[in-house]
Amino acid sequence: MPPGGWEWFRRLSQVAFFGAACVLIVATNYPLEADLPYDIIPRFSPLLAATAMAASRAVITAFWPALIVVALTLLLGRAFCGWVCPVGALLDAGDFVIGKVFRKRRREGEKVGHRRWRILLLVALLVFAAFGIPLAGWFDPLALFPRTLATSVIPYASVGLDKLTLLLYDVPRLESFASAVRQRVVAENVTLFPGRVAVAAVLAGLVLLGFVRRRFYCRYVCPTGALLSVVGWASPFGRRVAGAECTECKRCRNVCRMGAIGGRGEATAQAECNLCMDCLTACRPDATSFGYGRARPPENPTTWAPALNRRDFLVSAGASLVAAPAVLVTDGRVQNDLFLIRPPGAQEESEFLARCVRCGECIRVCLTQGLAPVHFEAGLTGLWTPRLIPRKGYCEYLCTLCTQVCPTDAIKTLTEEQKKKEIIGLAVVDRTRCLPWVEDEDCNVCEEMCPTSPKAIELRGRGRLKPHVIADKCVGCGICEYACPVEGDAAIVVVGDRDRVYFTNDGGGGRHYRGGRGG
Amino acid sequence: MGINRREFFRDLGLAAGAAALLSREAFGADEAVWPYAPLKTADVIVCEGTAYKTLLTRAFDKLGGLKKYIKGGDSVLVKPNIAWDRAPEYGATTNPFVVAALVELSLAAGAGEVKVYDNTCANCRRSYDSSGIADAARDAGAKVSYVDTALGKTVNIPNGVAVKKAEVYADVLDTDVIINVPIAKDHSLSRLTLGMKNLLGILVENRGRWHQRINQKLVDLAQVVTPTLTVIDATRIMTANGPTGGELGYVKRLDKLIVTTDVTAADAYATTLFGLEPTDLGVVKEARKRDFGTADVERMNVSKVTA
Repeated sequence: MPPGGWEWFRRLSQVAFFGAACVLIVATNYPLEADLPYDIIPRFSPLLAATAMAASRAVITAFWPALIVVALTLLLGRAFCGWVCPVGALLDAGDFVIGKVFRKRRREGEKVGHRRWRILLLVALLVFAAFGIPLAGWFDPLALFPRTLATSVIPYASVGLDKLTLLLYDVPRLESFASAVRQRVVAENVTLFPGRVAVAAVLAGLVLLGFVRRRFYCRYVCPTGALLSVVGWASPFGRRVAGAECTECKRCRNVCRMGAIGGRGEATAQAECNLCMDCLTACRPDATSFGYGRARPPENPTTWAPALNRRDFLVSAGASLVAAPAVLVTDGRVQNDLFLIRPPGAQEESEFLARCVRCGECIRVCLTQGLAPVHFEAGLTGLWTPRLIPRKGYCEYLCTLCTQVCPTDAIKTLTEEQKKKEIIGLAVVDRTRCLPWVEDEDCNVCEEMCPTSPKAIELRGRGRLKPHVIADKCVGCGICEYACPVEGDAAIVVVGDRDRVYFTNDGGGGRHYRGGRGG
Repeated sequence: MGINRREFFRDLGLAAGAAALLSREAFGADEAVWPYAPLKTADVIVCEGTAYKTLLTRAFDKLGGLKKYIKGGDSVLVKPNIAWDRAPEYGATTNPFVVAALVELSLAAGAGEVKVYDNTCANCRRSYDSSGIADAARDAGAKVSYVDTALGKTVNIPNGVAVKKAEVYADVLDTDVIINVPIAKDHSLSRLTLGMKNLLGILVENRGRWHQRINQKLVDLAQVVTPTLTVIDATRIMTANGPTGGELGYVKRLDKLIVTTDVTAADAYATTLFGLEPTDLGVVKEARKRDFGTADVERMNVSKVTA
């Protein structure tokens, strides 16, 4: 055993992977010139791989790193959860704080049957994916982690820095430091919208569940861990206890963060153990070791090995078989929000939904920070997929960043030339609010901003010039809506669904659309 | 109520002025007889060629040398147009080589620091990079930064006609010398965008709100934040689809620079490059009306340099 014990190696590994994940997500930023694998984090997840491929009925080769995780799990069991997973590392840190700072002693005895919830969830997610509805990204740690950093932690940190450095500006010796930081903040151009809070609340909630049980999420929720339980079930590697030396002190049971040790300490649930190695150090008589050869299973394998429980499997699969078509029908009936604008390069909507793993990489990289997580504007199943909110940030005409970081090609990679032709929406002038139309004031901001050549907005009219949108030249980038000087909602808005805009014959090329916001 | 001597002379002066105005209107008198109009002229140097640094050196020499305008240790702002995410050849942003030449000349003239920034319309990072200005200016020794819109200062415009105050980037107010270096190009609302329009890039407020009665507002702003020198970049001019352009077909290569201390004169003269009259440009007309700068080409002392 190395000095200090194996658990120090494990902690080092956790810190390294956690740090690498954070650095990678922070670095997913203009101009992406470091040539890093910016989109690789979600691609390590076998669950995202399985569900995205099932839902889109395509082999997505970008998911090759998931095979590494599968191979690792076949050899070593759920070492990924204990040594690699960034959410696992975060929860361990949270649990440590909850234990030490709040002096919270969590009961480690539990109804083992609760362990089956994550398996039920896994089965349900797989069934839903088979129906073309991939929801794994809501729960998968490798989507949840980047999503939370991208849409919430980094923006709020940025806003915090913004406020802090404004204060530092008045401190003479810190001015140049503040100035340098502010240049970064200005460049990041962060915008805030309510969706950011909801995403953060999920991760915060998972950390707070540490008050109930250590690694609560990993024990009861995480469907990816559940999948790895199934894969790692047959692993030859695991915890063994030399019965002759064991004093049955149960220190290992108390120290186990996963509650994977049963009996008087000699039994190990292979499906639960994430090989954190804490029990090695805890074992006073040195009776515990990790090695090849099956560990002794607990007394009741059906509850300790929820992955293999036939009844649960059938219940979950059966319920999902009913629920999934119902969701499909419901969402099929609900029209997307008229103002739902998908990122440039997004596949056709159903294919987009099938492939999007909700990792938030596109939201992170968006130059103008106009991409935001969707709530229910795209039906129940669209939650946390990306949309463009032009009033917050428009789609920069020649920028292709989001198309470069999508791990699953839900957003296809575009070249600059392709991007110029990519149509994501259509601008419509609101003639009841537009300054030249109603106030009889000069204004050309939308026309001035319009990046296409020739411009998709023309100023026309005898006397007062008024903006008109030329539909077949408009790409829907939304810079007009972003820059419109009218207070509140813009007087020119971009609709995501061009088909629902119809033309009137009022002689002015007027254009109307059905339904208001959210309709 | 009595009248004192001072008031008597004031009223006499006003009456004389009114009489002169009337006679001028009535008889079409030459401007020389107009007693109260300052006989303003502006030195306008038109440079032609591609050796920008040499051209600018000669032009500044004609204006008395750059050292006349930049005192040792001065903080100089070279204010180009970096508004759009376009490569330099599209003529939507100022020629980066002209910017670099101005930075080098300012440093050579003894500037303590030379700053380059513009509050962009498109995304600042892409615009700074695509325009080539960030790299060129930095290599020339300038401090290139983004305009930090949280750091604004309110500037009152007491004589403002359309606007009474402006939210200006605080750093501009700490600057001793502003060298305004716009690119000459097409613009739908103000016909052309030139020197005075380029000054909008120092504002940190919502500039959309500046596009109503824009000509009045531009003259209002130029009266309180007046550039020391204006260098209009007409090396390439954009003739259509402005101010964004986007096709090389819109761009005409002229290889010209217009150098002057009078921003109105710069704008007025630059209209002739587009085959227009100065009075075709609302902002020049407005400046003329308010007697701000020299709006008439006939009153300019135009000289040419080539290199």
